[in-house]
Amino acid sequence: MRTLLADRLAILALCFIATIVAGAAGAHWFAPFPPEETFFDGLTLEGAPLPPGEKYWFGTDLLGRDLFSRVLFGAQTSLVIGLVANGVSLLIGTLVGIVAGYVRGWVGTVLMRFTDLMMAFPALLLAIALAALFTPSLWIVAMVIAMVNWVQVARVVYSLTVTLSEREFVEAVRSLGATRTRILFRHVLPHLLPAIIVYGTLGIATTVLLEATLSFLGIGVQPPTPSWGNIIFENQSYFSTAPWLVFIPGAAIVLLAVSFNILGDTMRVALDPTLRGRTS
Amino acid sequence: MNSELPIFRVDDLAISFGSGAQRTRVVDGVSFHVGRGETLGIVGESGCGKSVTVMSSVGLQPSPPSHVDGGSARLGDVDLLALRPKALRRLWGSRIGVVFQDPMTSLNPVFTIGMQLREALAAHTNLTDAERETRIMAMLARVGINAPERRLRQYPHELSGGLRQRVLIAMALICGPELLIADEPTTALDVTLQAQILALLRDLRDEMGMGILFVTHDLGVVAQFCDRVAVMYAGRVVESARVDALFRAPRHPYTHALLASTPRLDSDRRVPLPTIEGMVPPPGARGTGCSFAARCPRAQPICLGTAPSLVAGQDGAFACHHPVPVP
Repeated sequence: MRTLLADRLAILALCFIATIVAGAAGAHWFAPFPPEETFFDGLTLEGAPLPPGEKYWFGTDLLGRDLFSRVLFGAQTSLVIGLVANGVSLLIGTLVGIVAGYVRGWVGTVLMRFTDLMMAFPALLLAIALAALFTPSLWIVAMVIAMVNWVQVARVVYSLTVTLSEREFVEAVRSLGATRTRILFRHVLPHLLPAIIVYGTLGIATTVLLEATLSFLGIGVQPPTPSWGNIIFENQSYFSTAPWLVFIPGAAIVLLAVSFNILGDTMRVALDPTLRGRTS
Repeated sequence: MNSELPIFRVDDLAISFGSGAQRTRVVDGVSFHVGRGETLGIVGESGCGKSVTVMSSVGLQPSPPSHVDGGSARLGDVDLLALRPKALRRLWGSRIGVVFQDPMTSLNPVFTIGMQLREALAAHTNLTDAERETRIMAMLARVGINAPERRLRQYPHELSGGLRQRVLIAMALICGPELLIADEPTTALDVTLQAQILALLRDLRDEMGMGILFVTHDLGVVAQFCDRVAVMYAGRVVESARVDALFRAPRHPYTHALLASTPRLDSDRRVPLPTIEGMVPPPGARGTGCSFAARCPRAQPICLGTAPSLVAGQDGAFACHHPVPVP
């Protein structure tokens, strides 16, 4: 019963993610209006944004643009940030952590002290410095976020690898003459996957919000290009009079993050052979 | 069971741990050899350096923190201690097999038994898939695993402790090594399984002709299973002899005391079992004298001053100024 429920949730999560991906990919066809066009009838006579209605499904924003179209196009940006930035930071973090944790010695010390240094450095300041060096574009922003976010992953992977490499089966594979790379990526990595998956799914929300912060500071995705984060930040001063402007993109971020979390959890269970036997 | 042609020979091995001022010698001047088809038992209490000695001699002891300070370890005519890591790795699993203590943790829980055995073969041979499968099946059947095709698809947690130890033995022996290192392979098993595993190892040894280095603290197992035995105390070999001679007439007082403190079926239950008073001196606190002197009932002033060296007697060798007389 529990697995059935979990499976149903997982299917629901998968459906939501698929919808967002499809909506983002086909934004040009699905969006009823261009996302950057301001409409004369998009604001009330007093200049306030319109609530959700027949013409503008999600209402309009402070400049009288269609929120539904903006959320669809914003999904493109947010997905790229959430997946690419997060993926790259997982990749870097895992590599640094696993190598430092297994090799240790001076290589490990240098890698981990560098990680500590990056950790101690204020992430936002680093992001601002990096963004100032390169002209902000979607991909640059994704890389900047990855550079800031890999540190935590590296820490977690490092400490897990240290414990894992003390386990006897690692010693046993070593005594069979397996190479270092083989031990690390074939025997140690599978044990890290659950942690990496959980961290990765949690990271999606973090990265989307970090992008929003960067946008707010003017070094993220450049307006008028929408992203879920910058829609929230642009409209936050209208929160009391037009709550949908913050609520709808906010809900999109939360739902996306939760969906990835559920999916990650299902994957984690599916990957564990000791749990696999119990369900059948 | 001839020992005139040693396949593995360790001479004057010295190992220390730590670095700088904290560097401490833990194993000093250890020598032993194993012949083809012969089993050498290495016994001693916890912390006497038996595992470190054996693992270092084949290069499996991680360094740092350990350092080999001197000595040689020859497998055939290759000095393992002089080999580069890459060359050593080619020997592990092919000419040297290792069976570890705990079968519960020595198999990777995320892979099936079949995948792990394939791994052992793939590292050293270029067999086709079909050849590999037949060899794996034959090996599993040889170590006494029934229904091998089914076992191949199972995960370690689905197997009992005895089966897992058999799988580990199969993994260690699948490339036909000349030397098998067994680091307390039966400690984690119950007595019945222990006897089965020992019988299996003995059969495989006679069949494949490999030498076995058997690390244990169980004198009963040594008496059953080994041809010769080296007794270690505080990082040195204090006595080595053929098993029958050692049990009949131990010469070193430590060996003597160890044997006296082993319970026997015919011992008087009303008399408490003799114990060895005191503690093993920790590494770094071992003086110039014999490290057993402080606990030795036969100690004389000379024992505290100079360490005895290993001298060959008629049945073996012992390191003692005042050995226990042959009864």
